[in-house]
Amino acid sequence: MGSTEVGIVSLVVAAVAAAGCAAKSPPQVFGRPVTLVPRSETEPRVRGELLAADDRVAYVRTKDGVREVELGSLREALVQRHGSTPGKAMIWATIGGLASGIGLTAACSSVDGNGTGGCARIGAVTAAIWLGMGGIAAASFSSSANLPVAPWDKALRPYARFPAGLPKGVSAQSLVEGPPGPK
Amino acid sequence: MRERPGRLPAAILLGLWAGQAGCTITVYTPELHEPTVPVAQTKDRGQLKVHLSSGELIVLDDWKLSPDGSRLSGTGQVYTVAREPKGGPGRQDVSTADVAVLETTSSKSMFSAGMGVMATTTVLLGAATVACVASPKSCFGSCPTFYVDGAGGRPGEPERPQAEGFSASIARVLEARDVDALGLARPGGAQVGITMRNEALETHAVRRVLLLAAPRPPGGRVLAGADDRFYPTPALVPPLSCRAPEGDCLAALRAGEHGRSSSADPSDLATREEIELAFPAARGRSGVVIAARQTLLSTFLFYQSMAYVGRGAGEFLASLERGGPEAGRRAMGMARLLGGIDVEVAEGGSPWRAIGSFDEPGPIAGDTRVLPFEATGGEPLRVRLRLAKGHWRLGSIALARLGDPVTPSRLAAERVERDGRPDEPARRQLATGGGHLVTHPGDAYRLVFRLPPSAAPLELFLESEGYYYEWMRHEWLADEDPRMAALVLADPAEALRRLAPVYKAREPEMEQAFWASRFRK
Repeated sequence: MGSTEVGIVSLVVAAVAAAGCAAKSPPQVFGRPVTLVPRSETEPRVRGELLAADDRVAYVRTKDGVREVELGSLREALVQRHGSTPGKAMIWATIGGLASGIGLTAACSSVDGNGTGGCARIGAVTAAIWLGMGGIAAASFSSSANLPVAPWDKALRPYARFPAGLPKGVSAQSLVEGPPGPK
Repeated sequence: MRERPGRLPAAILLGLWAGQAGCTITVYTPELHEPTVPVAQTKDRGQLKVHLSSGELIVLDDWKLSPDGSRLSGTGQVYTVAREPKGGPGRQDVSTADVAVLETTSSKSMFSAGMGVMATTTVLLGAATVACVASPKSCFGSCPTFYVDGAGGRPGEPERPQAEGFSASIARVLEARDVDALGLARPGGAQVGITMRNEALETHAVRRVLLLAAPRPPGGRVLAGADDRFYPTPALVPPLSCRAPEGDCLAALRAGEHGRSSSADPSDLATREEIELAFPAARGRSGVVIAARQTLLSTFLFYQSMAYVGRGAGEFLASLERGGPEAGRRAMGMARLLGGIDVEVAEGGSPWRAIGSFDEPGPIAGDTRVLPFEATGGEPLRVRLRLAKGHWRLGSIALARLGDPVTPSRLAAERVERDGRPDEPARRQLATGGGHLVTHPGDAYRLVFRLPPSAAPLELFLESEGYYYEWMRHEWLADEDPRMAALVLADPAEALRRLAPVYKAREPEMEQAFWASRFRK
């Protein structure tokens, strides 16, 4: 490879390495994002930041406010283990696919004699490869991103903002501030 | 997309490395501890979270429990119930009676196939995209090209080809031998690696590739003559002045890679222009040295002709082969009318005399040739160039005093490699010229030559011989026009007039595309 390409590839590698480092979650001062799965198929799942969990109730800050969920009504709780989610994989693949597809189509078309249709196909195939790889990564992340936890024992508590339970004098409903929870 | 085979392994290795390096995810698991139980500070645990009964949180970077277990102190940051920082970071001291629970976090690296897939995809496709955008021709095509190891002043294969072989040989009947000046010298006994690539939608039939080497005179050069001989010269003399239709062209000639060029005539592509240069007086055997390359005009005409032939391209090429040299000459009618750079010289007020033409085809690598003549030395020398408007890019024009012709060593490759492995049949074919080595888009062969012993540096030239077939493109079929195809063959002068407005409409775009996609370091 020429030195220019080595430099470019090094930058890309550095970017990937940086992205990999960024995926390692630093210690959080908030509770972990959780998904509470009800026993009933008709009941919706509850997603948000786990504020606290006691013997009876889990408090979850959702985008619609703080929800108190009976632990006995749950089949399981899914605690987010890492930030590499399926959604992020698809967003990255879409950005990469668009950049590669448009870039390669434009580069191909700039060479005299190459037809627009053929160049567009090269761009489309490249974008499709990106999206396909993104789909594979998303499936992988989907299975690894969440840790299933039995909500009725104390295993859920360490992941809460308040692992010892809601502090006395603090209303769960007042805890609406914080980073956006999982959607 | 055709990835360069030589670069693919490196890119794949980098991609796999990135995939390996990036395919782990660190998972943090919280652990709770009683407030009065000492929590050892380890590298693995990192920070200590002190959850107070009030709901506030202290995150300590270092900590110490008093001997009686009543107080916990350390350096860190306090957070409110809403987890907003409370004051700045600093020394903290808290009674364990106020602590609800302590929390540490352990980390563990977890294999993630998804992260590996994304990292590998990003590196491979990202690098390929950036490389192709930076140099489209290296991915998407050009003429038969030759890259000399280290020609860019750095180890390995350069970005820019040093030669393009037999560009005008568009059919077997037009098979030709081509000699290109590589503009390089190497010490005697050295090994020279040259990579031959097929980077276009073409089938190349290569009969022979030889390296020619001739000792340079001290401080001078060896030049390939338009008469197929090789002349040593002690130095190149630049022009004193240059006048073109647009005015002074001296600065353009010194501009290097882009050189001097003009726009094609809007009503007749065969319209010619004149450039006049002045040099100091010369005596004895001298030569006008021209370094130039074609613009994309000839490429446009060739592709447009193929488009006019359309679905009859196969039949057309077959008739070309059956018709022999005369059919080939007719097929090249437009190129013949565009012509080369005709050169005339005059000393003082004496009449002009023609000394030959520079006519090296191809818009990619260009070439350098010397046109010899005898000078009397009486008066300053004038040089007049006649060339089709918009057909040539003049890199440099110089005057040279020429020595007696020399015979360069003609060297066959001592080794030919394909995909890093020796290819003895290909070596034999390229050395003997007994048959054709057929290459397809994306093919690459590395030829290794050994230079003979020499006290002086050896000037290098590449001799290639063969022909190629252009592949029809689906997009060209839309322009199929049998009447225009017939006109191109029967009356190329009229065809050049009719094609003038078509080319003029595309000329700025083509030039821009060409320079945007030129090879760069």
